[in-house]
Amino acid sequence: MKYSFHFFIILFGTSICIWGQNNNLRVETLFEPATITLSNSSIYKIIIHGSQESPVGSVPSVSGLQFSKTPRTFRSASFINGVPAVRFELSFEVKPQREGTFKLPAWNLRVGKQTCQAPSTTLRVLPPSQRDKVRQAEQKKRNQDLSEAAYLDFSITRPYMFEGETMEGQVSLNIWNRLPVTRIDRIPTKTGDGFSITELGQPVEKRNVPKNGKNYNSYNWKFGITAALPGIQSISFSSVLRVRVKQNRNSPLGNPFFSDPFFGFGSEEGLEVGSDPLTVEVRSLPTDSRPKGFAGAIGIFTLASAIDKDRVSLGDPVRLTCKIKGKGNFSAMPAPPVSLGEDFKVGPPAFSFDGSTSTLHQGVQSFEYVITPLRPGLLEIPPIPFSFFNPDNEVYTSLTSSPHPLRVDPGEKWMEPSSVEVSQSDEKSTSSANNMFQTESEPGEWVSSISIEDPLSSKMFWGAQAVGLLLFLSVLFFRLKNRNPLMEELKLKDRVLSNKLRETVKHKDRAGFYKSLRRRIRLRAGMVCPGANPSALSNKELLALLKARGYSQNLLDEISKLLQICEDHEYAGGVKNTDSLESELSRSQSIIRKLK
Amino acid sequence: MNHRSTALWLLLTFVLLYSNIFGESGDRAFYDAVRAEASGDLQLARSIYEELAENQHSANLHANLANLYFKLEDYGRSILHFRKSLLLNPENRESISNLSFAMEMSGVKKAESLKTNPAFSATAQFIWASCFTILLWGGFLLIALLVPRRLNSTTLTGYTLLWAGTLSFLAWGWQESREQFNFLRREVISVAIKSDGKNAPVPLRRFAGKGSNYNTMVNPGTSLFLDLDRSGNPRMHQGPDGEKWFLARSKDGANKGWITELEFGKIIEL
Repeated sequence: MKYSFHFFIILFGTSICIWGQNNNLRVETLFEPATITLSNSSIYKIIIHGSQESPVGSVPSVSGLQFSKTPRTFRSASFINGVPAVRFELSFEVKPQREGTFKLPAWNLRVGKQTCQAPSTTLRVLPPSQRDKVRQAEQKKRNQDLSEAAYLDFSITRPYMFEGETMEGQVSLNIWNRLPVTRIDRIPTKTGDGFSITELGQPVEKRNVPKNGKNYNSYNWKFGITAALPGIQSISFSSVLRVRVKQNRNSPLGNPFFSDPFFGFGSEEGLEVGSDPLTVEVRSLPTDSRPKGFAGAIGIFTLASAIDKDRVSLGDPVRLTCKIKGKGNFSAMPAPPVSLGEDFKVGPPAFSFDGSTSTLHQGVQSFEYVITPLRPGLLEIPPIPFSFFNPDNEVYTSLTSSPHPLRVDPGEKWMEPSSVEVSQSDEKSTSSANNMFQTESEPGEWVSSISIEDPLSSKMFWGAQAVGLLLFLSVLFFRLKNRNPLMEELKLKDRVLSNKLRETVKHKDRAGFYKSLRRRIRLRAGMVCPGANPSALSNKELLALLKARGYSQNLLDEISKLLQICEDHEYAGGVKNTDSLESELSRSQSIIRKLK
Repeated sequence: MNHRSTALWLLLTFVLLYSNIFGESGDRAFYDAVRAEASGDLQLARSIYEELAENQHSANLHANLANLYFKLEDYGRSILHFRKSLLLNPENRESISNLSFAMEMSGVKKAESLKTNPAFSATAQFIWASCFTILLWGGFLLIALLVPRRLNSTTLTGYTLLWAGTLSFLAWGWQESREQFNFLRREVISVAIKSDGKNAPVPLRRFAGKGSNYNTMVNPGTSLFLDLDRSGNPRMHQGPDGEKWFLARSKDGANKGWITELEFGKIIEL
């Protein structure tokens, strides 16, 4: 029953909407109230009768009036004198900026597919009344109180900077100790593209600092600020605090803290606090007398270098550490260029900073190079140049480190741990070098002379050539002497027939196969029976000849069968033979091989 | 018969004893030199080593002698004996390192002959020649034995080309090695005359005489190459006082001049 009632209500409302939307559209506009004083605001309403669709259009701007960007919307459906009606309302808050009568002209808006005209309407703004003035004074005081309740202080040491220079800055967040702050929602963030700052870490907290007649809790952050763009640049900071406000208060700006004895028990809201913008002049670095090796270091520095070993074996690495100490833009400082010539191979430097990590402004920047000597001897690592700009007296300064002598031994075997001191005098270096050579205690293999025999003047070499030549000539002579042209011709014919047999098998030419086979058998018989002419003999005569040569009866029988098959295929024709040519070839070859 | 066999045995015994005595005396002298050096008597050690090196050679003997000269700050002779030591034992890394250091101390650039690929070094010439000979006659024999019998023309052409290509490669390697050999047999190391000082520069004089002015001076230890005459022997001139002069030049031929036989040492014996 209950669900049926709900369904009826929904159905009824939907029917009204659909029916009402079929009516003609009508647009009405008005200011509510139509007359206000300068310190108050009015509502500009656009009422669309006959539709609940959101209109599309833009409210014309009027000089002296400020419209809110996001309107409130309201949809309604009703029966008026028994006739269903739907309505859509848009409400903009309007704040006047001066006195006068403001006429908002008619303007077009589109509802669905129809275009309607919003009629013109007028707002009259009167001078502020005495009550308004009192209210404005109270608001001003409240804002001042609120700005004193929490604020940011930002300071740097100098009112001007040089482009690329890094200075130490400080931002302090001061919170009145009666302000119900639950936490700092967002630590101070910079506004201003002309500067870059280091990351803000943990603040230094001070409690009950008296200022402006109140006690504050102060949170201080120190950081390094680097000027990135030349010119007059502005920088400010803002932060967000979470504060507790009493229920039914929408904003902390509406006197949430000072008149409420029970503050701190309501809901939390964000309170944005900011600093006054600070204008800093960022100057470009002077180009006059800029050193050639200047790479952007700005500050006041000292330079020192050291090597971890002053005596190494060839190929062993040496660590050259270059330390730059002082105040300045360490974060933007490149490694000093190291050019050691062809005697050394230099790897890319490793950076390390020891100092104030929050500001990167003061400390010691170390660049560690791994150097590998490429040749033995008394070498010298040349001085490393370094140039920087001093912002206090506005001049460039160039420094060089001291050179480092390095003894590079050819092999590590002779290194003596005790003799670590290296003197630059020739006398001492020679005596230490003397100790590097070790004397062999065994003579090794003796030879009678140091000479390399020239093969071309060696008897053994020419003897070997003679032996090789003799062997070659002997074989050649033997081959020529035993040469039989008839036999070689028969062998050539035999090879040709053997190849032909393979070709016939490949092309499945059975007739050609047996023909070639018969000729080859006869040829081989001729080869083993010199003087005979097998082509002129019958099969029987051929077999008798072979028998006379001492071949076995089994072989002769096989040859006889083979010859018979060949002749049957060649002369009788149509003989059915189911054996494959491949098997016939292998069988015949095994028989022919025995004829030798 | 008995007399003959007795004489033969006596002869054999004499040969064995002689070789043992000779070998042992070389070792003994070497040990004496090592002991002298260890006791700090470097001059005595040097003289023993030098005397020993006149008849016998070993890589360690020349290495020790080179070390000794280095300690005596005679870098030219030190380099000369390191080169000799390396010729007998080319893979001795200590000698290679010491030679580099001695050259560094003497201010001498590394010789070209030390930069060559060991495969084409002068000592590798015999290997290249042997391989060439074996392949040449082995190939001819194979051709003579096998060609008429089994190989057809395509296979024969393939094998012949392979054989000829390999022969060409071996001939090229042999030629490269031979070139190094020719350089080495001409190469000498300049050394300072003791009267001029341990490491006094060696002058390459315009004429074969001590009073002649010089084209240039080279540091002791510098590699020089002797000019050869038409018969392949070093070009030499003997002065009225019997002193032998040789015409030497740097490898690129830019610097040349006459030096006496006392101002250089040969690496290999011609």
